[in-house]
Amino acid sequence: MLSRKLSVLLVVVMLATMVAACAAPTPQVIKETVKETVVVEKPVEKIVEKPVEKIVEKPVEKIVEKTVVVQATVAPTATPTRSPSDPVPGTCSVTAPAAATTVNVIGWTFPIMDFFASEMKQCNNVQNVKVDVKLLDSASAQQQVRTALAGGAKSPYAIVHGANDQVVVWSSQGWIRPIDDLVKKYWDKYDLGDIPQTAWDGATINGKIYGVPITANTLMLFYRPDLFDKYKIKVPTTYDEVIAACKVLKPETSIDLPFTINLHAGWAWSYEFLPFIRAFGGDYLNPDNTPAFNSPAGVAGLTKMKEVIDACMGPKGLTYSIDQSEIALENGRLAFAQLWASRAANMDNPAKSKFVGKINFAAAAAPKPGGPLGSTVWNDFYMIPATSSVDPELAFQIIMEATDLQSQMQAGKLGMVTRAKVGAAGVGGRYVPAANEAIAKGVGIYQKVPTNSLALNALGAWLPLAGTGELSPKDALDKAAADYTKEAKAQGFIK
Amino acid sequence: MKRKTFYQFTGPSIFLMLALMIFPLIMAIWLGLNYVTYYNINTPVFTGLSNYVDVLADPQFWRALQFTLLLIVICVPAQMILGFVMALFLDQIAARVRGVYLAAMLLPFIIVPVVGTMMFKQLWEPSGLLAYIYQVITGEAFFYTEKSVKALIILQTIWSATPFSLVVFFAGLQTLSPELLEAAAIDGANRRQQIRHIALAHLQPLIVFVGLISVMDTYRLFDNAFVFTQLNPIYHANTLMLYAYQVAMQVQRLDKASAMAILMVIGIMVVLVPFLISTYRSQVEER
Repeated sequence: MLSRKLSVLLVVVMLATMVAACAAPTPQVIKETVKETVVVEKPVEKIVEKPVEKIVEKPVEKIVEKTVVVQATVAPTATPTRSPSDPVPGTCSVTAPAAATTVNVIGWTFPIMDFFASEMKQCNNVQNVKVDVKLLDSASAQQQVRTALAGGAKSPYAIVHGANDQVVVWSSQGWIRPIDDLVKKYWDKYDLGDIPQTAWDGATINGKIYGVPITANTLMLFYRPDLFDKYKIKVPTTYDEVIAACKVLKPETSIDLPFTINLHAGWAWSYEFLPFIRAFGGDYLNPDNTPAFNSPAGVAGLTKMKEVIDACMGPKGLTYSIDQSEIALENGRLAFAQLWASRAANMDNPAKSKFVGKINFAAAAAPKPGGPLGSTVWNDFYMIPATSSVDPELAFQIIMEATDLQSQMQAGKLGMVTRAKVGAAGVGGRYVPAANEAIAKGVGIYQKVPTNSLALNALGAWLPLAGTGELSPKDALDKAAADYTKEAKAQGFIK
Repeated sequence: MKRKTFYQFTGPSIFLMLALMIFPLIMAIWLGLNYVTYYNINTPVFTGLSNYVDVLADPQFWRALQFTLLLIVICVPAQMILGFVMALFLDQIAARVRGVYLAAMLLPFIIVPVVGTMMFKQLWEPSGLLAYIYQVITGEAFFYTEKSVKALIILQTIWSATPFSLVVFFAGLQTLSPELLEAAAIDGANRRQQIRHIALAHLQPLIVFVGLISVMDTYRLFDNAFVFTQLNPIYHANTLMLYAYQVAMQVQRLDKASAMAILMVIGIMVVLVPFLISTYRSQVEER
């Protein structure tokens, strides 16, 4: 009897567990659907594109061909297809090496980088070339690169992905090689003058270029015009207006929160703090590497962030990651948010958003009225490790094939790319004008000093405690300064 | 046994122990006595015991130790009691269907810890089922706070570690002679008394074994604390392992993290060595 009752009970528990596991919708599921459509298109692309590619000039040829590919693949398959706004893979025509060469690439994943990775894999069609791309989360990817390159042994990677911070630190350690020679050699072939000088500047350290700029990114406002109209709110241009809008939106029951900034982790704090401190006239570090972030400007910036948290986010908002803010907007659970431009394309993707066309974009609000906007400029780069045994010229060509004009024309549908001709051709979403304004009127790029990463760590460890009210802004900044100074001295950056 | 034969049998194990445990341990000791970051990994500077002093003076280390001890105090007894109760129930089930239940109960143990934690965490995300149920029951939306994150880490640790106790105790119960229980029943012992005076007494060596292994496992807890906290300091839920990881990978102080690892090894040895000595003595006595 006991056995039978127990059996029934256990079966119920098991079923409940399975239902629970299946019932929780997650963003990962959606991502996988998109990846499947890429696989579906592969065989067709091989048949249609190859013969044409050799005859016709590149820029025109791709656009015409790829339209045909999309139409051809829709009919025969019943599986979910990509939307017309999704990018189409291109081709790779690097010089084949004499011996079999494996090109290992490491980076982190987000839609536009996933596309560039798929573009690199097109080079597997070249004789003797095998491209293997490993995409992780950003922290893991950076950690693997550090571990692989720190000892000075042969790099297992021929190409590494990094952002502004990594270019500075990795170049200062000699882990990545200057690529001026390759940039000069292939300047015309890959029309590298089409990439603006400001993007090259992000990868230029002491006059040497260490990376190819492949994406641009900035912080901007995503908002629901229907709610703004309902409550007669103007699109905020300052954070004081953001706070006022949050107070007005509080009674709205269809949303979980009025507004979020990404402050769910220590690292997120250290990045989001920069526009606020810069807007109040401060910066992270002094020229002699001593901390500058615990200045009155820093305190003013952090105090403003705390005001925003109290008025708009509360403790719940402090747990919202970038993904969660994006999903909340796509599901109508958030009235507005400060998010990265790289997330904007998903707002108009019916596979991801229930609010397609109903989310508008504006440049980031200014932390201080009359000051610069609360947006930074961010670039991603492909770099070549100094100790890679793969021919740097081959690695560079693979980078350029994956990020040439044709590729960036496609990638532009997923986020902001670096080539001017992509913008001139009108490729990109509705968000691009707002993103461009955010870049033009924002606080600029991060300081290009190796100690910046130490400052980010120290800030990430203490600023969250100011967000919860456990520490005052001044105390949090002073504690971060003490930690930073201790580490910077230990590592020889401060005498 | 001849000495040569002895070495032939133990050689592979000794080699693996040296390669995977002793050598890394020696490396960690050496790193802990030097100043080493990713940027001077080839040119370390000898600093003696300064890293150990640094660790012992670090309030975050003590806070991490405090949370780790809290986990041990709550999770180890909970998973042992639950494991024992489940083993008793399993022991009562008909043998022909027992395998199915055992497989089901072992699932948390089989699933990769990070994957299990991520699945569990997703249930508590704003779109997750458990968050929804929580909202229905309490009328308030669930979100992560210091208390809720700590509670979820504890809950998930118990969920994932209980099957280990279950398997060991269940195996122990299979070796318990039915005659002993029958004799006790004839003498008038009820079920509770049978469990207390016969089953528990029979399992005593296993209880000590499971307890020690569980303490060690909880002591080096990393996966679920990492997934739940994302290293966000507002949760104050760093375990020792998580803090060591943070120091090594974020602050990039390989030396300080190594010193911390050595201190952790010393800490666990304090618990482990008396057990090993008593086990050795009891084996000698049995001979």
